[in-house]
Amino acid sequence: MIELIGTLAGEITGEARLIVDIAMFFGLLVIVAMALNFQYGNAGVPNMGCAVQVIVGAFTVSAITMRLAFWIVESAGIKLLPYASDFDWVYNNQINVHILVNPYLKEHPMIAISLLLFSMAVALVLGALIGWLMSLPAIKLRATYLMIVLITMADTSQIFGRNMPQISGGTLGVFIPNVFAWYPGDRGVITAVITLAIGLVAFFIFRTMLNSPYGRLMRAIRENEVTVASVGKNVVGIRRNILVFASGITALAGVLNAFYFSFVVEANYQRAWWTYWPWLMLILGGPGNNAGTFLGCALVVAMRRIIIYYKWIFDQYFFFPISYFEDILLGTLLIVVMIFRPSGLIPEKLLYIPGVPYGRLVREEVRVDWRKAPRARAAGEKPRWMFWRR
Amino acid sequence: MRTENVKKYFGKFAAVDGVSLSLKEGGIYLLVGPNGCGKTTLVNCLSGIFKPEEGRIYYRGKDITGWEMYKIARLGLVRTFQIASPFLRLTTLENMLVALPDNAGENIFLSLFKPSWLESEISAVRRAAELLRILGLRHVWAMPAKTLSGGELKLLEIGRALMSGGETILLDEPVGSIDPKLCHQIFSHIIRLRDELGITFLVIEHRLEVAAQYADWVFAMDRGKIICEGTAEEVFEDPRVVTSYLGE
Repeated sequence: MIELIGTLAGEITGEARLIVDIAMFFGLLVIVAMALNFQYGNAGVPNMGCAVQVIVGAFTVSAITMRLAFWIVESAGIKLLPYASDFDWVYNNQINVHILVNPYLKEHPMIAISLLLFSMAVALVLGALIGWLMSLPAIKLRATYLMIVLITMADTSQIFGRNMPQISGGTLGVFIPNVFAWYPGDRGVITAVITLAIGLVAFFIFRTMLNSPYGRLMRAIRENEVTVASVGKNVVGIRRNILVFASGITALAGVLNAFYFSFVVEANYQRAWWTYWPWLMLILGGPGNNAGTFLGCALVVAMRRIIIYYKWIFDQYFFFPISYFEDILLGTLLIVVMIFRPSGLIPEKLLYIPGVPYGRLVREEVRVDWRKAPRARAAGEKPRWMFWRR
Repeated sequence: MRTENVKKYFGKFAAVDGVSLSLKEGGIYLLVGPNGCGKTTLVNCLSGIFKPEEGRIYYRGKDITGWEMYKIARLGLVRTFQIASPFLRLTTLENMLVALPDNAGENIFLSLFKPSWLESEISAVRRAAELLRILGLRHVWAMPAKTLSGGELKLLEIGRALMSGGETILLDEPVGSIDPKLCHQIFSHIIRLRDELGITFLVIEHRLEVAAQYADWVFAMDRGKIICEGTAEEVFEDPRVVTSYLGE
């Protein structure tokens, strides 16, 4: 089967590479943008620190998965070059990974796949943990201050990576084991397929949550958090849960990005890339609905990859270096969308919770006995559904 | 509910200056006074929006001074707002459903498993529908709250407070900017809820000609203090109350 897929994919060249590239970056950024839509579009939590969560995923691979892979390979009797000091970690890395570890993973696909799954599981947990840490000082703040704190956190995490070679090779970066070494075709194809599959799973998870009473509660918090608190809901706790959950999912994008490039360096995780562009996608498509997020993400990713791919053509028509065009485009698009289409290309629709016949229930003549109606519970008393903690 | 010498300062200005009052279960209490006398600030202290600098607030025997608003609401002390504060882009029904306590579907993980919350959602909808029927809002159940009239929004505020299991409801100007007919309708709902459910109401209101007809007991405030309390007739004939409204 693996050989068959590999044969189908073959060597990727020319415009096929562009398509794979677009698919890969669409998969990566749609995960980040959907998580952002979950936080901001639905709950009004303005997470300007998406880059932190992505970095956590990438650093999980470079700092934890790589050491685990080295340990596994050494346990199998393969002698690796020393990697005890910071210099070893960076300079011996290329030989260790490409000459010693990758051939081993090529021969042991189950170990390689286990490393991928391990990385995603750890990133999910660490991403959630960093989301919780981010929420500690920030979640009680008003939107503007929350945004400032989260931007600062994103920059801080990059500085950590830059100055701690043992995490991600400092400014030089580190190569990481190729967990798709067993795949006979192009690594980009299998990574893109897996990324799109994970994006699809994330989409169904977010959709299910948003089309439920939880989604309704999130929208209510976005609309008026004081009113939500006034009916007995712990808004700070709910906002924290949202940030923690979405952070875990966002970290997966960092893992997949690291495996796509087989390389981790802090400079690849700038806030413009992993925070501002997802925000543009969200605003362009329309906050509050996943369809808008998909559309915004597809448009922006396709546009950016095409500019990069055909930059030698575009370069002839601009008086400034084409590399600046992306940044100009980001700013221009944001301004244009905010002026002409502030609710995005696909505006938010009313909430739809499938499977509950609201119309019939409202119209039916059933008298509810007021005296048996749910009452408020005392502070500290567990909710009724938490039967296991009674 | 009982307060003892509650004080709330903004800088050096005492917005609430040593208020002590006591509410018994199942009464309709009216809190009146000129603009800026500290009525809403007092309600903000009672409901947990503000933490009083001095004094204590007790509810059902618990000292709730300085508690967060959601914890106070969970005890059954719920408030509405002077300017109706609905969830504008949610429908009338959704506005009600958000207020239901302990909805299993509002758990971040259980929300992924519909069977775990479907039953509670259906019973919540029935309860909300019944409330909407009582309040005369059933015909607008599917309309976004932003399309409701001012009177409907005031009724929705009361409905939301009831949906949350409120046993003592602090109503901040429930009939402000409402036509006389709807004013009496709203107060007739309040009377019915008091009689049938034993719910206690503390009502801030400037429409004295309407509110006084329904109040069991009236507190009058001026410059942060309770200056007078009693039946409506007693309070509105008190010269201190007249002076507070009309001046010397």
